[in-house]
Amino acid sequence: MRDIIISGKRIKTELYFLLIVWGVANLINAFAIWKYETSWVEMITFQPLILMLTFFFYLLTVVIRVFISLVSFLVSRVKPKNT
Amino acid sequence: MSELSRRNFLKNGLLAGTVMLSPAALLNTKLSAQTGGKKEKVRLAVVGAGSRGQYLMQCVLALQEHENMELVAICDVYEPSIQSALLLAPGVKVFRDYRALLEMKDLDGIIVATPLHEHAAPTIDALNNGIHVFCEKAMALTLEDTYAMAEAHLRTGNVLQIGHQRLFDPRFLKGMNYVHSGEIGKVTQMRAFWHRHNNWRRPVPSDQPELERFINWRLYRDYSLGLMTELASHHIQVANWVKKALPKVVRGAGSISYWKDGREVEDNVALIYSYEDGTQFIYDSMIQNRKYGLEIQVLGDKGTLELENNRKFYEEPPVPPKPPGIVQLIQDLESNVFGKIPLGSSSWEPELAIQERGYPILANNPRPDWWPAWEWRDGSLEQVIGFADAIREGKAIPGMFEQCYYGSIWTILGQMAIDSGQAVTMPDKYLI
Repeated sequence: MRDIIISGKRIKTELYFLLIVWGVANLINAFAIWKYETSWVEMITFQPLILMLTFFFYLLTVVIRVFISLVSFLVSRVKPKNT
Repeated sequence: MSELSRRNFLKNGLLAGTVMLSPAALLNTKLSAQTGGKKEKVRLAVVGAGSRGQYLMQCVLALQEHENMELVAICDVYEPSIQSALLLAPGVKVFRDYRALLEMKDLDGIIVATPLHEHAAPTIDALNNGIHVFCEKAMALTLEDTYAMAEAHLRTGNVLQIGHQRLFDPRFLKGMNYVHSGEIGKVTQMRAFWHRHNNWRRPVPSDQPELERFINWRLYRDYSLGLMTELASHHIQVANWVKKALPKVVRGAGSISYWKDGREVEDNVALIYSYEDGTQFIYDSMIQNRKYGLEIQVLGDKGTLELENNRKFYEEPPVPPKPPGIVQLIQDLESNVFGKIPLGSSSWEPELAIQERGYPILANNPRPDWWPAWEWRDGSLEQVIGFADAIREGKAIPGMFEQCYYGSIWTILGQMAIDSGQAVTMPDKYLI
């Protein structure tokens, strides 16, 4: 069985993505609190929901990135080589 | 009724009574019912051991052990009633003349459950003999008898309690708190109805047709005012209790429209009792349709009570707390994506009844473990406990008798309005 090696760079990149989507989820929460005039305490009390949203967004970025990689790969395969 | 006497009545009668009734009667009867084992024994007899009398006998028997009371005798003139009553309470003394019963030693109180026209005589004689009386509603067939009973009670000081069990029903007591605290706002209308679907007849032995009027006394005017005294009197008492006042005038109509079988009392009545402040109490009763059953609705500008159904409703239902912002955002997105697009709406909609389940007036009503399952949970047992307590204390709950007295008086006045087709007011001579 072959070992899968995840490089430190990859881990760092994924953590960056996670941090960014967590920030986006918090911004959405702040926007909702402002729009619906609810309590700012929800920035803290609703962190479990925010974390769920974070993972949802993160999964979304994974899907998008996999899709982009797949498209790039296919494009590189069909592109005629320069002679 | 003059303005002054009406005010005096409010001040000294209903108002005081209601204040005392709401917390004290409920608390006392509930506490004593739950703690049990108390005080000296109360010895009771039942005069009139027919169906209602036997129900009240069952109440006394159920309370004997826990409330320290004893059923010592019954009195009736109809042998089948005596025999079925003896099945409930074998060994009690049997009398066929209430006057002999009143000679019994150590008798504390009697329960009068005779036909209506026979309420007055045993009640007055018992009070004059120093015996306390629980008398079924309505008090009497005539205004004169009703007043004479009240006079005997006030003169002797002995307890005269009338069987308006809603005065002891925890749902009604709680409902009155809502009304009188202003929670349902200004009450300007009350509506009550009592609908049944039966001919109201009891079987008469085929070999004794002469017993028809004796057994079916509720159908004949010599003995009863029919739907008014047997049913309406309950809700008239409650309406006065809600308003802490007496009606100013009553108008009514009635007919024998369905059960045309020789009866003399109406099978279909409708009345409006008007109060000084403009409140209208609209009452109807019939015995040829039971869909709507019975109810008394108290309509305020902030809410409605359905006392029989144990429900309260608000004109502006309490707004539930707002969901968190993020949840609202998700819901909005969801409804924008999946919601229906309105194509148009009606410019006019009928004002149909508000479809709301409401809230219970009394959320729970715990009873002691020994409380009998057959009881209707309508205050019947509590009123017997209340009667025994009043006997021990030698006085009734203040204000309660006045409630019942005027309930009976306005019941009879309602019948007079039906009979005459005129607006009827209460003559001052019936003020107590």
